[in-house]
Amino acid sequence: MEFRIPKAEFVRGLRLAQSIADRKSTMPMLANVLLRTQGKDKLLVAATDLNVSLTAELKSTNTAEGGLTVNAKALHDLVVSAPGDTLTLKRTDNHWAEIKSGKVNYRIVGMPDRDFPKVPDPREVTFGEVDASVLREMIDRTLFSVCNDETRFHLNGVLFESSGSKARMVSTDGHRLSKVERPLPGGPQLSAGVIIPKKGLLEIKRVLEGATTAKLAVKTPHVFLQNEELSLAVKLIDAQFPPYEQVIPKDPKRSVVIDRALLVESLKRAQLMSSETRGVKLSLAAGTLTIASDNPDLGEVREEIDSDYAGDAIAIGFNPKYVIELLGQMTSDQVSLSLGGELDPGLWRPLGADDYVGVIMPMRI
Amino acid sequence: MPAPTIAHVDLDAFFTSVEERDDPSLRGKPVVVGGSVKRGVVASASYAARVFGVRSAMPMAVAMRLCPQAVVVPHRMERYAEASAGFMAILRDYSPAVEALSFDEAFLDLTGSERLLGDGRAIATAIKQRVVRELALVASVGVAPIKLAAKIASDIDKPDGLRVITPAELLPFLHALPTSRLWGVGEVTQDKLATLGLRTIGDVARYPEAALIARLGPVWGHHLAQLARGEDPRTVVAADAPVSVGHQETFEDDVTDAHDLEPILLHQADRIGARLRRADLRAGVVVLIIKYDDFAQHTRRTTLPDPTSDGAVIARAALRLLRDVAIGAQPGRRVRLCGISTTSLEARDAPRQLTLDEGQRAKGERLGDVLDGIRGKFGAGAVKRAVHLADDDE
Repeated sequence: MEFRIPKAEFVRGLRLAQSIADRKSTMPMLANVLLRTQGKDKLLVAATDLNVSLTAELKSTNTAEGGLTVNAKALHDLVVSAPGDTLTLKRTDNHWAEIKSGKVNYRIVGMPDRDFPKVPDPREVTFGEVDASVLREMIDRTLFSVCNDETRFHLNGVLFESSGSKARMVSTDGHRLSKVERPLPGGPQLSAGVIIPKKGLLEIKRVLEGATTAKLAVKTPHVFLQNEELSLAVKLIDAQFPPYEQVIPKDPKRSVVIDRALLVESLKRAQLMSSETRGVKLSLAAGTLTIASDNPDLGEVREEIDSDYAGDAIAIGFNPKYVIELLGQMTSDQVSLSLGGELDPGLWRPLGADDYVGVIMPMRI
Repeated sequence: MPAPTIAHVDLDAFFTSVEERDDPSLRGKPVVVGGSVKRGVVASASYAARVFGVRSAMPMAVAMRLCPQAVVVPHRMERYAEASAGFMAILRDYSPAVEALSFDEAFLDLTGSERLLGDGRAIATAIKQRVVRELALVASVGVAPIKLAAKIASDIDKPDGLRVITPAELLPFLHALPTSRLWGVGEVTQDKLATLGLRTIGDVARYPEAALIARLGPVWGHHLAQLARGEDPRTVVAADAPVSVGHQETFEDDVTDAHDLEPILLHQADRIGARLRRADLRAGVVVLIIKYDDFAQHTRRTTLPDPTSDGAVIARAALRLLRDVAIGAQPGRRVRLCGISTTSLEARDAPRQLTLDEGQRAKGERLGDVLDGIRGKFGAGAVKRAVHLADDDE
C-alpha cells in the first residue's frame, strides 16, 4: 500500500477521525484510524467508537493497493505538523507506516486493517438533501437539555421526528424540555421518531461546519449524514422516548411577555447571588416582574423589570442556569412565559413565528 | 457558674424488654435477642438470662451453652427504632441538649432545665414515670455533675435505678470505685495501674500526675488524672441530623448468586425508605456495600438524579450497582454481607428542583407514607412486597 495525498485533504479527514476514535476503549483497535486505498485516486479514512462511525473518501494518488490502521491521534498530530504540502504514506513490513513529507521521514507502528470493525456503509442508504443551517440550528436548540445521566439512556439523546417536509427535535433531562419544529424538505420520512445520542449530534455538528446543504438518511439502527466526502453513521438509541407532549402545559392560566435580553441580564445578576439549591425567585404582580435571589452565605439581590402582566400575583423559583441556557437559544426580542401554579412547569416561547418551546420545572423554594 | 447537671438515661435490657412487653408469655423467662444462632451475637439479654452469665455482644453459640433453655427471639429493629424514637422524644421534653448514644441510652444536659422543671432528682423521676407510662419500659437514671459519673450512676442501681450524685458527693463517689470504671480503661490499662498499686479511682487521684504521665504517656496520663479529679471535659452534644441512613445484613450462609441478593436489597431499600420518611429526609446518594467471605469489603456509589425517600427508587439504584459487582461460588467472591447506605441527606421540605415526572415521583413517596402508616398500626409485616412473601413461615 502506498499513496500520495495533499496535506490539507488528509487533515480534513483525520481531524474528525481522531475526535471519534476511542482512546479509552478496551479495544485498542478503536483508537486507530483505518486507511485503505480505493482504486487509483481515492483513499478511504474510517474511524469508529462503535456508536459513531466516520468514513471519508479523500482524493489521493495511489501507487500500491492495500490498507492499514494507525493511531488516529498520533497520525493526525503528525500530519498537521508535517512540513510539506503533500505526504506519501507507505505500508512496510509488520504493519509499519512510513510517511514522507518534505525532508521528514516518519515511521509509525500500525495494525492490520482486517481487524478493523466493519463500519456502516453510506453507499447502502438513500440520502435526501436538507438545509444544513436548519439542521444545525435544531441541534443547538435541543442539545443543551439532553440528560447526561447514563442510567437514563433513553434521555441521553435528542428525539428526531421527520415527515419529509417538516422535522421536530425534542430533548429532556427530567427537569426541563426543549422542542423545536422546522420545515425540513428533503428530510427522511419516518413513521416514528428516533433518538440520536448526544455524542453523535456533536459529531454531526462538526461535519455540518461550513456546509450549506447536507445529505441525511435514517436506516435503522443508524442515522447517516453526509457532507461532500465526509460520511457519518450514528447508532440510534434503541429505547422509547417519553411521551413529551404530556409535559408541555396546554393552557396555563398566567402569561407574561418579557424583554429577552433584559431578562437574561437580570438572571445572570441574580445567579451570582443564588445558591445551587435555592435558585432565583420570579415574582409577578400587575405591571412588574421581580427577580430576586438570596444566599445565606453571601447576601441577596432584587431587581424589578417592567412587564405587561395583568394576572394575580405569583412567585415561582427557577434554576437560573436552565432559563439562561434556554433564552440563549432564542433569537426574538421578546419572550413569553406562561405559568400555572408555583409548582407547575413554566412554558417559555419566543414571540413571533419561531416554532420553539422550552418547558422548565420550577424549584420548590 | 453553677456545676453542670448531667443525666444519663438508659433503658434496662432494652431489646428483650420490648419483646417481653409485646409478648407477655416471655415475661420472666431468659430471653435472648439476636440474629443468627450460628453466626450472630447476643444483641440483648433479659435479666433472667443474665443470671446465667449471658451478656450482650457474646457469641450466640456461647450464650446457648450457658443457658440452653433461653428463648431466642430474632431482633425486630423497626419495633426498637419505634420505641427508641418515643424514648428520645420524652427526653427532649426535659432538655434541648439530648445526646443519644444508642437506641436506648442518652445523656441530657439538665443544667438549664432545673430552674424550670425542678432539680435533677425530680426530673429523673419524671422521666422514669413517663417511660413506664408511655412506653411500658423501665429506665435507669444517673444524675451527676459530669458525664463519667452520670453514666456510672445510672448503672449502679440497675435495673430500675435512680442515683443522684451531687457536686459534694462526686469525689467520694468516684474515689471508691475501681479503676475499671474510668472511661477508656480496659483490661490492659487496668493491669498497668494495678502494677503501680492503683486499684481505685481514689488511688489514681492521689498518685502524682507527672508520675502517671511518665508511666502511661502524656495523653493517657493526663486523661486519667483529670477524670480521677472529677473533671470530665466532655459536654453533652445534641446529635446533628444524621449524615447517612443505611441497612446491612450478615448472612447465615454465604450467598453465591447475585439474584439471591436482589430481594434482600429490595427489603433493605424499603426499610431505608421508611426510615428516611420517618425522619422527613430524602437521600441523594445510594451506596451498595458488599463484604466477601474473605472480609474484603467493596462499595459502589451512585448519585440519584433527584433525591428520594422512595424505597423502590433506592432499590433500583442498588440493583444497578449490583451488576458491577463480581459474585460467584469461588472463594473471595462469596458474599457474606450486603447492605445499602444512603447519604447526601436533605430535609423533605428543603428547596429543590422539581421534575417533569413529579407526579410519578410523588406517587412512590406517597405510597411509602401510606405503607408506613399501615405498618405503624398493624406491625412491620402487615404489608409486604410479593417477592418477600416466600420468606414467611406462616
